[in-house]
Amino acid sequence: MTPPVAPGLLWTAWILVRKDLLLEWRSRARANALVFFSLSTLLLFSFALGPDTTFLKRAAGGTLWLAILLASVLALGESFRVEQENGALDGLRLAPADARALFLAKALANTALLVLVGAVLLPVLLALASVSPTLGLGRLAGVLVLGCLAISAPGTVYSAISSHARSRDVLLPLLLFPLLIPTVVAAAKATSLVFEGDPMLQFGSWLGLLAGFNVVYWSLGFALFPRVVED
Amino acid sequence: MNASVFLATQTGRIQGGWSYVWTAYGLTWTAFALYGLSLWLRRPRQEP
Amino acid sequence: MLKNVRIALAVLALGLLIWAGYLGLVWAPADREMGDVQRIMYVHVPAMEMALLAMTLNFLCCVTYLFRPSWSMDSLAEAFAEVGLFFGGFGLVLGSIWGKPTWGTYWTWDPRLTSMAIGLVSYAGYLTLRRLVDDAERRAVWSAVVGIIIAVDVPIIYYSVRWWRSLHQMQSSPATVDPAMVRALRWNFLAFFALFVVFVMARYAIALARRRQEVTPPPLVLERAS
Repeated sequence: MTPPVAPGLLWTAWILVRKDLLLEWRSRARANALVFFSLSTLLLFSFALGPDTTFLKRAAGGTLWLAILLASVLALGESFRVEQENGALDGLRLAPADARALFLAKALANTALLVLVGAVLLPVLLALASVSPTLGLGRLAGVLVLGCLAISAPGTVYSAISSHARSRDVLLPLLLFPLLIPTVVAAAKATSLVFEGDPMLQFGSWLGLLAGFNVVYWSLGFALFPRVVED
Repeated sequence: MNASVFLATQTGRIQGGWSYVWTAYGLTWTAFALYGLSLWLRRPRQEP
Repeated sequence: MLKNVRIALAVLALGLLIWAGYLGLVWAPADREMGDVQRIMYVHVPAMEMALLAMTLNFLCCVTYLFRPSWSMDSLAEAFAEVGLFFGGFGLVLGSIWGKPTWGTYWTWDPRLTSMAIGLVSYAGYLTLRRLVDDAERRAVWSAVVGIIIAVDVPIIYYSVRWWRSLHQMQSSPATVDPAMVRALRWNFLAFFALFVVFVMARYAIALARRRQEVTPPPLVLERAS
């Protein structure tokens, strides 16, 4: 019989993602809470900024991404709490699971959650602000996925740090928000272009910027996360 | 064309502005003094 | 011995500051377009240069720490972060004061100002993180990680005026600036740099002393039996 071999990085990450998503699906409590929270945030923004519909139309992109950003604080804040409360993080580290696989898994699971939030928010936003995806659903989906990826990567690193610090609820947004300002600007601008049309062909450059942020933050997260969870 | 416009073309487009300059320099020196003080107050105590 | 060096440096810095202040306020000529408001440049530019220098050095300390952990590297990183935040903060206000008479506004959302504002809030977050973590070793590792991540902003701050159309002017070179102004600028840079060194040394000593206090166990006090 061949000796057991430590599973590869991507396979380990895949198993961990499935575990997290399965846990989410079984309880659905967190996902539900997140969706309802972001829906009420969206409504709040619309009421606070409304009722001028022309303004709401122009602010639609920004409103969407602010709602996703606020939801991300909740989602990311919770993402290590399950492990921390049950001491499961040590179990994960004792298993031959590379910490980098853990990072990929957590960050991807968080991305999936945020994309779900975005997908639920979009039809509501389209109705509230009376906008429609002029540049097409494909481009809209592209912005959504790239934006959520760019939020999750650094968010996962900071979440692992802040879940072990004092005042963790304040620390996570304090660290994350300044970092995400360029990302949110790019995502919001790109989304607005999808809604309003893009006569000067700027969509590509904003998307390129988002892709660039992803490359930087995913590589940094991948390299640095092991140092965050090591003992 | 009045005298102040004429003067502006001779010495520079912005006239005066010394209040801004003094505010800036005053702020600079005050900031240095306050930060220096805060470092002084936080200095490590020598162990006996 | 070190204490004397630091006192001498502080005196030198003060002297340089007075000399540079004279150059900037009195000796340098008024600008052709900005008039005397130009003189704010002599304090704003060196302040921002010190801020960027501090942020870069903090990044280097963080990287070094992850490869070779030591309390001195960790304390040095902390010192650079705080001093950088100090220079950047009041440098930003100086720029704002300059902006009112020249641009007509105290603030604008252009790439240079925005990225610098993000940078300052980031370093404030870095220092807050350090306050909220009690375990000294974890604090060192985590702030090193955070310091590396936020350092991504530093080249953006520096090159923003070159990469994008910004209201803020591009970096000037001595070839295009009046030599009298170059002189005032250089002396102010020196004065600010001397102060920078003095501040960093003091802040480093504070940080290192705190590390020592955290890491060494308290001395046992033996009571004489009565």
